[in-house]
Amino acid sequence: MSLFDNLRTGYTGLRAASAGIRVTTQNVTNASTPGFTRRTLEQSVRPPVQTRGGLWVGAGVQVDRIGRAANPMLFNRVLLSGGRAGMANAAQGALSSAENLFETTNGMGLRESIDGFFDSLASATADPGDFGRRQEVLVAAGRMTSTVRTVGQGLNQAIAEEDDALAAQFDVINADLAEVADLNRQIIEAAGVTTPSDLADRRDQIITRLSDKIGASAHIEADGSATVLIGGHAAVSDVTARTINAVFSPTAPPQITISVGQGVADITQEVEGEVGGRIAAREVLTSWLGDLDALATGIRTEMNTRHAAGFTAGGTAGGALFTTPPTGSSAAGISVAITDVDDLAFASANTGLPGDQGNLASLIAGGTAAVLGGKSFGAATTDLTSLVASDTRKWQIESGSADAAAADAEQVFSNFTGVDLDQEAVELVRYQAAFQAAAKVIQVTDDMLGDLMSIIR
Amino acid sequence: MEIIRRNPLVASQRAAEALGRIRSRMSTLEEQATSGVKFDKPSEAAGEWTAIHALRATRADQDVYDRNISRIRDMIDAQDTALGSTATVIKRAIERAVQMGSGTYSDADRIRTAGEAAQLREEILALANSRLDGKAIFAGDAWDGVAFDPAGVYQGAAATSKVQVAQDQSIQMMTDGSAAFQGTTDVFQALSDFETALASGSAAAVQTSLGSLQGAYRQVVEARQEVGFRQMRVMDAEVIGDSLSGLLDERIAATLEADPIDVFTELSALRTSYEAALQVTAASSGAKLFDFLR
Repeated sequence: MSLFDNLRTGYTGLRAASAGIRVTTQNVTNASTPGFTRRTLEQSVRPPVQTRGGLWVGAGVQVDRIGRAANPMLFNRVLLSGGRAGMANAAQGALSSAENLFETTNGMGLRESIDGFFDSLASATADPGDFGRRQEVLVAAGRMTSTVRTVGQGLNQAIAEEDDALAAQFDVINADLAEVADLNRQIIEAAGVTTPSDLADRRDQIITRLSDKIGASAHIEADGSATVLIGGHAAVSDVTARTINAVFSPTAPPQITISVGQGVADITQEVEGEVGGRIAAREVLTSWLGDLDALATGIRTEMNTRHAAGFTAGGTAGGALFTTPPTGSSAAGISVAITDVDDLAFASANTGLPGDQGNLASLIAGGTAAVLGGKSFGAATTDLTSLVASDTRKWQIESGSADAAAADAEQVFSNFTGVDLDQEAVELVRYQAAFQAAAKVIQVTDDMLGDLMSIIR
Repeated sequence: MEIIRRNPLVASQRAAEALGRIRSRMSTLEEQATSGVKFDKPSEAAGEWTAIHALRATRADQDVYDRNISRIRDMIDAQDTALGSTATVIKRAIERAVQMGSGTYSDADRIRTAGEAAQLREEILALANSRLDGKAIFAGDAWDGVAFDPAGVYQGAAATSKVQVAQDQSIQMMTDGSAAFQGTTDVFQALSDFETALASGSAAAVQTSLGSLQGAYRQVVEARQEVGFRQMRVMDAEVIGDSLSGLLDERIAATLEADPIDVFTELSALRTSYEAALQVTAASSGAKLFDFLR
């Protein structure tokens, strides 16, 4: 082996150390870049060469590749936990917003407005013919219907907002699926030429976003492409992306479908992420609205029946006290049917006596009658409030634990794939020392060559 | 050995989340401190709404009952007073009847006294037609008219109107004047008979009218007893209501209202934690091995 070989060997050390510094620099500068996976320099001993004397001597170091600290298993944990957290957070957000409709800080919620109406009737017993007492009943009835209506309209609005937010997801989701398929293609094509770490980072970041939106898992294939599974179906396979859509109907909950061959498959119950959360929240909101509609219909039916059995101050038979729309949400359209206090039918007979309050007692009894599944209006309202509380609380707890699980998964994933600046500082020192040592080898060899040259002179 | 890596992006996210949790709790406490209310969303008191609604509903009911009690008490008090005055007037008539029925007075004295009997009758008629807040207090359910016409004929109706003073308790507010003044004995007729007897100058006739007057007196006293019984029920309802209101207020305060001492203590502790967390976050984010490289 000649001194020139020694120079070449030293040179390989310089190149390897230089590459190491470049990798470290890349890591340090991207330490805070979302989706960046730590790069590692993979180097090995260059194959030895045989001297003329038959000895095998080392030929230095070679850089095999710049690796990427990926971990498919941990990545899938991040996807899974991210999908669940996305679902829980979306559901929790929607329900926490809607639950405000049922109670207010000053205690004038749904239940209080219903109690207020029946209290006004009880108050009227002191003077059923008095204009002020009758007016108080009409005002309380108006406040009750207004509160029921506000909650009903609020729930209808919340459901419509969930539908709008849901519909807005799919352009982004399908664009992301298409981009993942395209990145798969680029990765497959680049695999033979270079290491497509940056492409893989970009792709994994999009898959993570997809998981947050609709719940996804990924399987990294041998050719480097990722198969993305959503709702148990391969949404991206190789370089092909399928289409996911929401189908809305005025009479049924939205359906999430994925294209399969010539048709579509229903994946509504399988999806997670924000889409799954909005589907779940919509289901809960619809259930609340159903109970509220039953309450509004119950109030109208029961109280109108009782009111019709009595007589007004003018001696005519009582008419409807409340109205609800013939179609659609009863709660969102309930209102008081009369405006004149004299039309309140408190009397039990057509006597015109101001003290006749036989039917007023019946109206008051309507407040405690077992009407809705064997429960009074007040008890049914409390049940509904309790249901709202427990449904919302359930998703708040779910959101908290899902966030913690997602944070834990991200922490573990980051521990494996993330850049630690202290570690990079150590690497920098290491490569710097390696560079200096290799440079020294070249300098010593150069000195030796110089000595040889001086002999010749 | 496994390397524990601390990525600045993930570390800053975790720090922000931890600080956010403290801020969120501080925000809740600040809201409690300003509103004085412990819960303002259903989920903040999951599982407690049956109790909370029952407390609020019972308190609101009690407010109505309190107003009703005040109203019915005034009405029954007025009836009691009117019946008491009526009894006094009848008693005076009885005393005059006893005097005039004796041999002490002459026929002429009795004839002169007849006008006094007529005045007593008018006085009782006025008491029977007493009004409170525009209502004829002895006209039963027909309180917008008069209870008795000048001839003493009842113009009112039966008293069926009942006022709710507690959850399962209603008390009759009005009194049926026909029962109080014209039950077994017609009070007005008794006084008219007394007047007629006096006008006749006959001591025997006056003595005969005394029986009717005594019957009228008993009847009015009995009517007053019935009113007094209702008065006692109202008073009982009032006492129970006051006691219940106090109890409910205490329970509402304990269940629904934020305790300022608890709130401010926790808030103060959280502020300290928040400042400490900020400093720890800043310190742990700052120190790097790079700082020591030359």
